[in-house]
Amino acid sequence: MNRHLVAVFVLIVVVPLVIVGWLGARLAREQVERADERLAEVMRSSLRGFDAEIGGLLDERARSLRAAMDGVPRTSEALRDLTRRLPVAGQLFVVDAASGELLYPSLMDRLPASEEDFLRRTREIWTRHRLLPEVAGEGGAELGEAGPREGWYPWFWGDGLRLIFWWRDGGGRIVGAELDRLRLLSDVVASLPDTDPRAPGQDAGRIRLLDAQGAVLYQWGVYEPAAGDWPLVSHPLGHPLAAWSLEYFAAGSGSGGGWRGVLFGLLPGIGGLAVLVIGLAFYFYRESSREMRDAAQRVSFVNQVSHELKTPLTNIRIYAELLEEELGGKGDAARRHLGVIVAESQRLSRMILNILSFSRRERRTLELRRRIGVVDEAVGALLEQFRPSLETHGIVLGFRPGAGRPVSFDADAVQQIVANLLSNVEKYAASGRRVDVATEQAGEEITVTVADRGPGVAEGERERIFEPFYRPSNALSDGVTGTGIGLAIARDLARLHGGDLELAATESKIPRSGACFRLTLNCPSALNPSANLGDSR
Amino acid sequence: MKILIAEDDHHLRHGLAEIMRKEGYDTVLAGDGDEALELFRREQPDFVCLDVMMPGTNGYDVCREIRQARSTVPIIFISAKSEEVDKVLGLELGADDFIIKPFGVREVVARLRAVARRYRATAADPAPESFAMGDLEIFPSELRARRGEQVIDLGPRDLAVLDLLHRRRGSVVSRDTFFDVCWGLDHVPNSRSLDQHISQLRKRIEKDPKSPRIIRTVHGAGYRYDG
Repeated sequence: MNRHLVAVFVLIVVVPLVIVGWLGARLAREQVERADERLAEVMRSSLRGFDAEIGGLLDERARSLRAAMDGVPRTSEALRDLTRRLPVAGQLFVVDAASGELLYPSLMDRLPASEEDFLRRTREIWTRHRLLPEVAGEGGAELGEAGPREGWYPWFWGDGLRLIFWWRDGGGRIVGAELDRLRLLSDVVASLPDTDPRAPGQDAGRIRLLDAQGAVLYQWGVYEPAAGDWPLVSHPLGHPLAAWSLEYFAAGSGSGGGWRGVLFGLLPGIGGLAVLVIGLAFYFYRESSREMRDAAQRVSFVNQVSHELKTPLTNIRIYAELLEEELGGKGDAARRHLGVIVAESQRLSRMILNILSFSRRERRTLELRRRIGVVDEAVGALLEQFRPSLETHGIVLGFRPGAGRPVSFDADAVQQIVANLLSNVEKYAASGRRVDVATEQAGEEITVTVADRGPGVAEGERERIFEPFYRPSNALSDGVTGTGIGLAIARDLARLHGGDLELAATESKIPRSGACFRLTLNCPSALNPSANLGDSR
Repeated sequence: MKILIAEDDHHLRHGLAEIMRKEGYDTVLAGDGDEALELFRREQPDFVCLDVMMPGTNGYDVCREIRQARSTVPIIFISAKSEEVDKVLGLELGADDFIIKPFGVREVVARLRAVARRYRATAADPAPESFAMGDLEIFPSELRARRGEQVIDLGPRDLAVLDLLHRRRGSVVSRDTFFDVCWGLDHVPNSRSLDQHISQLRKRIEKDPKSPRIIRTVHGAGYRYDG
């Protein structure tokens, strides 16, 4: 397949498919994004609800701790006993509000292992007074009665987040509890839904509770996100569990999942369109190829026919001309008859030459063959050939030569051009009864004018007459024989010569005429080293 | 001068032969490429006309072999194949010209004279530079005559006729002498051949062919140039 066809194929098949595919994918992507946005909005609300549930759980724990501590003496024994009885409280503590000294558990006492662990874990809190800013609050109040009455203090130790709930007990002390981590997690999980395939939306998504390191603490929902999927919605929990977060994964969204679904949906459509477009392209290509093959066959047939006609036609011409010479001045009737044979064989020769030239023109292989010669000789010889035919049509031929210096030109081409012009004079301007041919030579430019006294050419047809197959349709030309290619070929040959063929206004030097064709040629002089001696395009 | 015509079409071969004989050439005819090569070697023609598409060896191959044998003999291709590549191929093989069918007598004569003119200009024994007959200047090496700005092409036989008349200026040249000198001893032309040739020649060189000043008729005897 040549490059031209590849380019056409790319242009009419690949480009539309790419455009349609791109537009479709873009549209689908926007639809997916809009759907995801709507779903995300719904799920954000849902996650906020879960967050509120967890918050409520913590509030309830706080209340139960305060209630449990209410009225309990602040002695080590009483507090240890309470700790044992409160599963939610991992370890209770008491701090002197004024000094920040940890009163319970106290290093002065003999401590059980659990309290020692507590002290070890919380040493930084007490030695660096980390709790104090919390107690002081934003106003930066001193440890006293100013500042918040209670609060949560989240901190990290070892395997994760730990929570301390504290409150002022009114006795100049700050009482608090480090919540049991596992119990806390268990309670949080218990507050969240279980996986239930029958629950609305659970089959299309999954919610995960993540800790500060991103590890999944708990999840529910049927959908299993693939590795590399990203959540549609992410929501950090409120204080004091802000290090934890809830994430929602929707089936078909994130990591291109929704995309894949859209593309898979688009593919059949694009595939069908591709099949249709390729099928159409193939159909048009086949039809075009068939037309081109038919045209090539017609051209080949025309070439072959013309080729086969040439030898018999040559024989007719030369034997008729030889017979003409044999007769000399005798046998007027026979000479006349021979004259007709000669003229008609010449006309047939010109038609074949025009057809073959046109065929080469269509194949862009029309070329010149320049040789050193005299334009007047070539034109003169052609005029002598035409004279009998012109006389038969009652047309007087005048010739004013003016291009007698040797130049480089294609004599056959020039004769073909002038022959086409004279043939048109016979066909369309015989009523003028005269045609004048003149040549001029100015440097390397040769001008040949052919002027008749016929009806001329209508204004609107002055350029159209040079179009192949165009023949003016009017009362004068209807019924006139001809192929309509003569002027097209003549102009092409003129332009190959570096000149042109135009329908000019009447020259003042030539008697008034109906139509005046001006042929200009670029003909290097015989002395020019670049002249000639080879074909030229 | 002898010309070899290689053309497989019978009528065209003999038609071309008649044209060449009128020009003053002796002719040798071949109907195919192999016969053409054989005749070339045997007859040693001074000029060759070759058709391209012939049975057996085609015209291109004949040309190639002729060039290998003797490189200077003028060769003209006469063919119906007008494609540019064919013309280039023909000329690049060393042919001197390429004539495309269909053509008439005048075209082939003009081409023949043009090639012969170039050949004569480079020949080892070139013809005399020029001679004058009245206001007509004849240039044998160019196969041309000039009268002022007018240029007239001449064939070898035309030259022979004018040369004979010029050398015998003032004397009548008999018909037999014309035949012997200009047609060759082994030619048997009829009487009309000379008259026709003179008639055609007058049309080209006389200012008024009906009142000729260069070639005057001497009825019953022949022709004369008075100077």
